[in-house]
Amino acid sequence: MEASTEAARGPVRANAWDRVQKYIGQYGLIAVLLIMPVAFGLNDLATDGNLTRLGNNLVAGLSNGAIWALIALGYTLVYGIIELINFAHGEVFMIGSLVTAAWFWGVIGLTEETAILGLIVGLLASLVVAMLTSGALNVMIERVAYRPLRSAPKLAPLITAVGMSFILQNVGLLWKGGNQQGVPDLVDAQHTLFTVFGVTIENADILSVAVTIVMPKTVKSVCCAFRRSGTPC
Amino acid sequence: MRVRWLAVFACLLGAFALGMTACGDDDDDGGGGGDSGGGGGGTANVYSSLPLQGASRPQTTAMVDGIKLALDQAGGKAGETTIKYTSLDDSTAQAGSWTPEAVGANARKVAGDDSAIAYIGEFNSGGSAVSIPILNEVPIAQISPANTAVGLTSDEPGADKGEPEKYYPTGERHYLRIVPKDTIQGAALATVMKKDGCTKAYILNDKEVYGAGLSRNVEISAKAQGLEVAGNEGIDPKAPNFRSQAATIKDAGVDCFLFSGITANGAVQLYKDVSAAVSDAKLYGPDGVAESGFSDPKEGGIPADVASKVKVTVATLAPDEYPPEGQKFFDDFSAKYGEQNPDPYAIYGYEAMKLVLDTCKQLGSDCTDRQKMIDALFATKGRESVLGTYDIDENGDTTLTDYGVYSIEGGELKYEETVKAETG
Repeated sequence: MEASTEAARGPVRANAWDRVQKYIGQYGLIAVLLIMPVAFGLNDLATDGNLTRLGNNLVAGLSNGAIWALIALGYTLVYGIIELINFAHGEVFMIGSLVTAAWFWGVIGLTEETAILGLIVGLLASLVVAMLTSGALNVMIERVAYRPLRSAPKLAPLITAVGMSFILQNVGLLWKGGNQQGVPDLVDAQHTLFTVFGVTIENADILSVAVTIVMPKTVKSVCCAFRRSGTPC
Repeated sequence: MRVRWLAVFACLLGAFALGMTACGDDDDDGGGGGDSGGGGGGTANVYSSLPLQGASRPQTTAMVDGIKLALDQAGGKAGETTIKYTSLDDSTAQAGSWTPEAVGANARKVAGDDSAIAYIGEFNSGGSAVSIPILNEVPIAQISPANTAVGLTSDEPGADKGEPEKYYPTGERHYLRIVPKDTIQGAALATVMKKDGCTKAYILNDKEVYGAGLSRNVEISAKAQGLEVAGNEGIDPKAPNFRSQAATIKDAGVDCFLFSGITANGAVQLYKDVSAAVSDAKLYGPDGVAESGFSDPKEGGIPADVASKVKVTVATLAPDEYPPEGQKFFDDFSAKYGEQNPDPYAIYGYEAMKLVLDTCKQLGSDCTDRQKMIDALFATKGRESVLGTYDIDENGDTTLTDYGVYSIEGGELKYEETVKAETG
């Protein structure tokens, strides 16, 4: 009787521990990441009596994070198609940004005084220029650096990507120098659109999140349109 | 077999390229060669280590030109000793500013040169924090034409824990500077803000030796002068924007803002974001942003509408504020380089080299004795120079105390006044 009782207790303990491990695996990281915001929130409640500062920081984080998410989308897209971690992706983003800034500032001549309609049309045109430039650059890089190594071990195109990254970095440095480059604030990024419980929502916040929502859908539509027949989308 | 030969050839080519790179591309200037060592008629080497790339380039290039002018005027000699000058770069194109690795490499290079008698550098206080301990071990006289961080020479308010002892492993001093330290600049900034009607200020710093130290000095002086400081925090210089900090500053209800740091650490974006969030606030900056990389939109600086709200303090003054020797310097500089409005920092490069040359001449055959050079520099008293009359005290600090206040017009710094800091 004792042996069977012991045998019955054993599996119950193992299951409980498994469940704990499973929850830690699923939610542990989230719990750890929440420690800081909770600590800051409690501190804000104690000092300011509200959570406005935490709210503003969360909004700023989401807004900046949306831009990082767009960049991450590019990495994921390339990896998903040709199974290459494109280390030059950040630099392509940089060159595209510099070309776009030179376009709307130097060529079109957009400034903060430009009328709204001119700004919208000019920025849309700049978006097209940005996409064409970055796309063309990536096509050239793929043709010159990655395609010859399609049959090579995975490490070879990876190292080539790192090399392309260095080349593009130095192209940027040669073109614009080592200084940080400022551009006019054409979208009036810090204009407050509305507030929610004291948390300000600005132009930049709406713009970055809206673009980040629209872009993946657009990319998915394009990829589906060009997929091989029979491939699920 | 063919592949193997190709691999061998590639390795040899790589080694050759590495060897060529290791030879370096430093800019050599100054007097001709000759045997170095003790005794009159020898050759001594003087080096400068300045960030020749990035936002500070116009200022440091002007400094190098000032150094060369001083050497040219002396005919490349100090008494009987021929002086050979080499300009070193402590910045990299990638960083766009000084890097610890480049500073360390420069200091070690000079430390290994038996003929080196003086090192003019660094431009940035954080850089000197790297090079001072290296050169202290030798020792070689080090003169900074621009450092202002208090902790490099003393433990006065503004210094960090352990400063300055941690920079002098031998316990002896070899480093001096010809610009007033940040106890003066901090007081000057507080004085200017108070005079402009500020009642509540917010300070952000770039967490470097210079920026963090100066922010402490400003905070101490501001409180002493009755100016409320709502906050003094560090920023991440690599952040894409500072809207979060700007929102905090806006919530604090301040009427003045100060960034204690250098241009390369996000200053332009920071001022733009703070100006957008708190449009009525007056904006201030220290000498770390007193450069065209900050003031001129064509060089990536702040736009004109933000610049109109900014005042900066820097130890340089308008040419007619200097003594006759200083005004002559500007005339000579303009004549030699065709520069109608020399960058104010040029005079500090000139004086740093002039100090070395005059001290070397005074020492005569002992000029190449490094310890005697250091002792003589620290014994500088009542020196009548292009900057005015000054002493070097036992810590290596100058007794000069004037700071210029500049506004920004047309992308350039425009001298407004000389401020006598209220230090009490």
